[in-house]
Formats: sequence, C-alpha cells, structure tokens
Amino acid sequence: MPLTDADLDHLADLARLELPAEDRAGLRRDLDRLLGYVALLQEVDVDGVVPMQRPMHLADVLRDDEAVRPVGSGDLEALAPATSEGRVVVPRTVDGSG
Amino acid sequence: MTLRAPSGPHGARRTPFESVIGLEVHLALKTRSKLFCGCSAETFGDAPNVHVCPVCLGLPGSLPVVNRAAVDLAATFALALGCRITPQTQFHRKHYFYPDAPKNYQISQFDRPVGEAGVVEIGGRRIGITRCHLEEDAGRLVHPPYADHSLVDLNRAGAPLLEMVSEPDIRSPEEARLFLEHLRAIAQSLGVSDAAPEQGKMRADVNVSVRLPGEPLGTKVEIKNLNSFKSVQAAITLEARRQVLLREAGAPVEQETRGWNEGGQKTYVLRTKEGSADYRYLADPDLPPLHLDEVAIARLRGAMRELPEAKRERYVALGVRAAEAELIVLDVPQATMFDALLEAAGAIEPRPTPHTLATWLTGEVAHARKGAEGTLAPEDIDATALVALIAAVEARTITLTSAKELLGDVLAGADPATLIEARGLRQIGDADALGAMVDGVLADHPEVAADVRENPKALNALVGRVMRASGGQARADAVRALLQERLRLDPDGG
Repeated sequence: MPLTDADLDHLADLARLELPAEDRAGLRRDLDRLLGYVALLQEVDVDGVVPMQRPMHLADVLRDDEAVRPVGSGDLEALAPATSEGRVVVPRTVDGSG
Repeated sequence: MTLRAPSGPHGARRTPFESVIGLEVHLALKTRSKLFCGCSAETFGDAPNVHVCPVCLGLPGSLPVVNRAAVDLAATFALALGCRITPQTQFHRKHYFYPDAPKNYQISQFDRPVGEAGVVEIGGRRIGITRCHLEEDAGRLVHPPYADHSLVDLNRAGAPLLEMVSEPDIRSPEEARLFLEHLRAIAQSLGVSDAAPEQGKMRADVNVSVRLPGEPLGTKVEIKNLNSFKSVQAAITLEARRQVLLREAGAPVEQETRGWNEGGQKTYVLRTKEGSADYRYLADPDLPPLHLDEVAIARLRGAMRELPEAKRERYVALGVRAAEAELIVLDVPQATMFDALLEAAGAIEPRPTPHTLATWLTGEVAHARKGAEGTLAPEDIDATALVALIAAVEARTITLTSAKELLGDVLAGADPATLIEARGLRQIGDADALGAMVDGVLADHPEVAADVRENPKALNALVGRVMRASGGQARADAVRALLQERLRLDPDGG
C-alpha cells in the first residue's frame, strides 16, 4: 500500500521535520521502496516461532542502588550549543509568555 | 451514583449523567540513584544539569543498567495493589521528540509490565488496577516569560518512576481523591515513594467520560498537569460538567488531551491524542529481560511493611472508631505517631485507651500541627511526653482545659509533669476548696444565682464563673454538681 500525502505529513510531524515541497515526491518514492523491502519479511511464515527481541542471550543484568558521580557528570554545558544559568536553551515549546 | 456538579456561577445542577473516571499516577521511586545509571535520583532543589551523565543524556556508546532497588520497589508496590507479577518483564523504547527527552525516546515498559490486574478497595468499592510499570522520568522545561526559547534541566531525566494505571472504575471526583489518598498511604507505608505532589513526586493524569447509566463508555478526555489532589478533584468536576453540557446540547465529545490551568481553574486543549503506534515501541536491545520468580516474590512479600489496610484493622480491633482509624492510616506520618503513642502508653498507669489516644491525635494534636503549618513533624514529637499529658487528664490530675493549654509546649518538647507543677495546674480535687470557690461566686453574683433558680438551664453561666475563678483547674462536672446542690436544683434539670 503506497504512502499517502497524509501519512507523509504525519511522519514529518512526529519527527518534528519541516518538508520542503520540492522534496516530497522524492521522499515518498524512497519511503515506499523502503517499506516495500520490509514488506518482503511479511511473506515469511513465522507461525510458532518465538519472537527474538534481542540478539544477546542475557537476562537479569542488574546493578546495586548506589549513587556515584559518573564520568562526564556535569559536563552538559560544554556539549550544549547554548545555555543560560546552567540550563540548555532550546526553541520555545509552549505558546504565550507563560 | 449520579454526577452532581458543584454550585458555581451557574448554580448547583443535578444531571442523570454519571462520570466514569480512570487515573494514571506517576510515583517517583525512593532510590538513591537513577533507573539506569548511578546519577543521584534525589535532585529536588539542586542546581540544574548537575546530576547527568552519558547514560541519562543518551550519548553514543553509553549502556543503561537496571537499578535493582527500583525493580524491587515497583514489584513491592504492584504486590500491595494485588497485581499479578509478570514472571519475565522487559523494557521498551517509547519514541517521541521533545527537548525534555534527550535520547529521543523514553525507556518504559509496554507488553510485559512489572505487574497487572490488581485491585484496591476503598470505602467498600473495588477499583481495578490495570497495570504497574517502571519507566524513566523526563527532564524539566522552564519557559521564561516573553522569551523566544525554553530552558531544559535534565537532573530528573532518567529518575525511576512507577506508573500505575487504573480501570475506569471511579465514579466521582471525591472517589478519585480518596483513591489517590489510599495510593499515597500505601506508597509511603512501604517506603516505595515519598508520594509528595508538591515536589512532583506524585503526579496524576485523569481520563474522564460521561454516560447515562447503562450506556457503553463515552468518549474519554485526558487531563494532564495535575499536581495536587485538590486539582484532580476540581478538574474532574469541571471536565465532567463540560461534557454533560455538550451532551445535553447534542454535541459530540472530542477525544483529546486537555491541560489544567490551576490559576483559572479550567481545562484547555493540549493536543489531539497520539496513537500507540506513533510511539514506535521497540524492545530495548540494551536491556536484557528480568525474571521475577516465586522466590523473588516471596522475598519481597516477606520484607513488606504493614499496609494501611492492615493498620486500620489493627486499630479498630483495639477499640478505635472506624472513621478515626481511617483518618489516621491515610496520613502515614500520623499513623507512625499513633504507633509510638500506643507503645508509650504501655508503660503508663492508668493507661489511656487507644480510643482516647486516637481522639487526641486526630483532634487536638492534628489541630496544633495544622496551626504549626508543617513545622511540627511527627517524628519530632516526644510520644512519651504526649501520652503522659493525656494520662494526666485521664487520671484527673489536670483538667482538659489545662491539658489543651499545655499541649503546644509538650509538642515542642516540654515535660508535662514539670509544666503542671511550675504553672500550678494540678486540678482542685479538694471538695472544701472547691466548695469555698462556689460559695464565693454565689455570694459575688446573687442576681445570677437568682436567675438560675428561676431558670435552671442558665446554670452554665455560674459554672463558667467558677471555672474562671479556679483558673481552669476545677473539674466542670464537680463544679456543676456542687452548684446544683447549693442552689437545690434537680440534677437532671440543668
């Protein structure tokens, strides 16, 4: 089933991406081909196969509840493009002045 | 139960509609470190972005490892709510893009939550618990006024949360509040969470719909940003009223998420609901599954502290009135104090009854604590001194009036016996001394005495005068009896 315009808008919205009009046709074509490739997997008969959720056969990996000062702690300011009084500056997420 | 909207600008209304309410509650788990890294989880009030590391920032190459204590606390809470524990539990990534989620996904649980299908009984009604799951908290956003930007503090990002989802079994705003009070008491009793809404350690979202009794469930509206029990109650009341007005006008209720405006006491549209598929849940490949077998469950059950319901039953068995017992156990610090009072009372003769202690605790002591505006923590109160004060009233060493006068000082740490002697509050039990006082008042106020002879119901005027003359140290019933005798009144008449 090919991707509709509405699907593309919804995906762009979820990804918080602005799509230039001239890119839409190309993107739709690429996504359709990607999804078509993945759709091949749907043809495999997996009845009775337990889904493998992780490649590693590990279980019950736990750590004790100890607060430590991990390496890199407090270095966020150096990583952030802009900060203000220790907080990271980001585009405004709410409307209004509140 | 029918919905009764509160009296407001439109006046009290009765409608045939009932509200159907489900709650989602987030509790900050009481651990030292975050859910998947060693950063401190206790960050309230600290400078921004100091409790962060590559793991909770989601930097490339970092690996989350589950905090054992968080799993134990979550499973303990789920057990207390009567949930079935999932033998093999696991974590999923829930994807969304927002500045408070540095990894662009939140580690949560999806198909195998820690616990499912529980029940909490409140006031004889059973509220179903859909699930209890573990997840990490998000960061905190600040929006400076008139700025074009927001500010992010990631101290809280990655802190462990327990999310509890109830069935839509709640039928009134009051019941929603009572349910939250029970949850808080359970969480605090078990040491699972401080469950303090004012510190963001207990947060609730509510789902509200309305229907006529017998109808299928109506379209639900979710309300977020509720940070006090009072807001939950108010938001449900107003949202149910809004929906009833829509239904009565023949308009459909839209499924949407609304926010709560604390100042304006109203709800507003936040966004239309995203579907579960939009979150692209994915089993987290970094986090292997966890097993919670019978041995682990038995260990957690064995370590479980007394639950509020068991406490309530214990108090009632000791002779405490049911309503007072409920009041005590819903306030966990108060219940802890009550247990201390019971223990202290064991060493005193004559021993005040649990009923007497409960009456004091929920009456005078609660009143004094309220007056102290949070500065009087139960753990600071000397239970032995408080019981000694109550016992002094029971033994008729001092009057109730004197005891109330001394209560503030005793709660602040003073020794009641010393206070009683220092202030000369020992009750006037000597019949001659009391008789002289009564005679003195009668001689000083012959006109009042004459009135009382005409109208025995006015006796209290004289009782009050004698009590004042005694400085509150006479026993009112003894004074009353003496006055009746002197004025030759029928003891049953006045």
